[in-house]
Amino acid sequence: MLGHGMKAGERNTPTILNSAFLSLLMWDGRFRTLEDQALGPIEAAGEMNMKLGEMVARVRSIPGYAPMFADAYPGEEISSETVAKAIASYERTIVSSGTSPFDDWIRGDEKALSAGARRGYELFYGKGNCGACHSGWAFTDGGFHNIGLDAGPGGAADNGRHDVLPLASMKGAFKTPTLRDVALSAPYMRDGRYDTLREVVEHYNRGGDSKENLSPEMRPLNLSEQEIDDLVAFMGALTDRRPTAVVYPQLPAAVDAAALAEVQRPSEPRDARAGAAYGGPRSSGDQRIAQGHD
Amino acid sequence: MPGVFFKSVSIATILVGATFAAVAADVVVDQKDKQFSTTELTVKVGDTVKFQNNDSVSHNLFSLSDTMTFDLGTFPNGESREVQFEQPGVVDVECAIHPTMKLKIAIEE
Repeated sequence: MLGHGMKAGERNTPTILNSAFLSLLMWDGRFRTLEDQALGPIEAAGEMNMKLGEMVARVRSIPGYAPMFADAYPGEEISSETVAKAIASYERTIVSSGTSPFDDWIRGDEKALSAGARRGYELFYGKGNCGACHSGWAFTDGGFHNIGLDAGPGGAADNGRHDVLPLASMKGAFKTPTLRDVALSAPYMRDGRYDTLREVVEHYNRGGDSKENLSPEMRPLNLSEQEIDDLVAFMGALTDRRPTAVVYPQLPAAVDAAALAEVQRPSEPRDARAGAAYGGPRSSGDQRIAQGHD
Repeated sequence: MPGVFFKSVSIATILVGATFAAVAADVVVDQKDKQFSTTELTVKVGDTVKFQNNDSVSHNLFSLSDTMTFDLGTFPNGESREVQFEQPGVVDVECAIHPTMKLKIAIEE
């Protein structure tokens, strides 16, 4: 993920596809609602780096937003709360359309899946043990697992869920991502270390790289090259042929330049501690909200 | 047609143990298909609840409730953990690995 100043964040940006159905959001599950989550990236030093007051002032300065917010939230003013509700409401419209080859196959079209994808399906729920965590219609249990990622090229350990829920099993555990449309959402893993699904399957085939606090569902799989290809083919069959229709929003007309200049002051350097905390330990609510989207 | 994808949800059951402690009966709560066998339970002070894992995956039950905190660690299929409730109140039990698993236990005098 690239954020403020084109700096790379430490975590990969999760898809918002089907996030409406998640009980916990972010890789470490620190937000319970999309409304809570929506404001995080705006404030986060490593993402948009903007104080909420500045953001609200900008939105208020655009005349076209006033009637839209009044229509959507009668009796409420344009505020960080209504902006969060608007963003969350939009995100809830980004859902799978059920038009993937896999969905057609589930509905009875025996020809919808290639032979390789069918073998991949059997491996997914059998030898590959993928279904232990990637379960249900969205192929996620919404749970938290340590899948044996080592520190990676950056060398920085990421405690993941443990920073939110400090139980021993949660050290290095991250939320299971959906596999719907997964072929479209590279790079992969919580830090984006893999560019292809084949690399992902190879990781699982090794049983992970770090054995520290490894999930008991992880083990070497002894998959053949053909079986790895088959699993990749199955995941490719989870891509919707037709995305759910999203109406491209007609944004309000350009702002009055003077008004924009008034509210568009350069952001002050953020608190160094908050910057240092990005991707690091997050024990307080304030620090959590200062984190962003990942 | 594939049968694994849409697993049937097990019917919720609370199994009252056949063994009895000196003060109160044990209660067994099952875990299967990433669910507890019940979402609410009432026990007496001094009762022991046995959490049985009959699921295909491991679970890590814990509680951070004011009444009682515990972390049972990760335990696999076929194993169980027991907790004795010694104070009245309400204890929320969750699975750290599968946060949709929630159980509310009321402990009565």
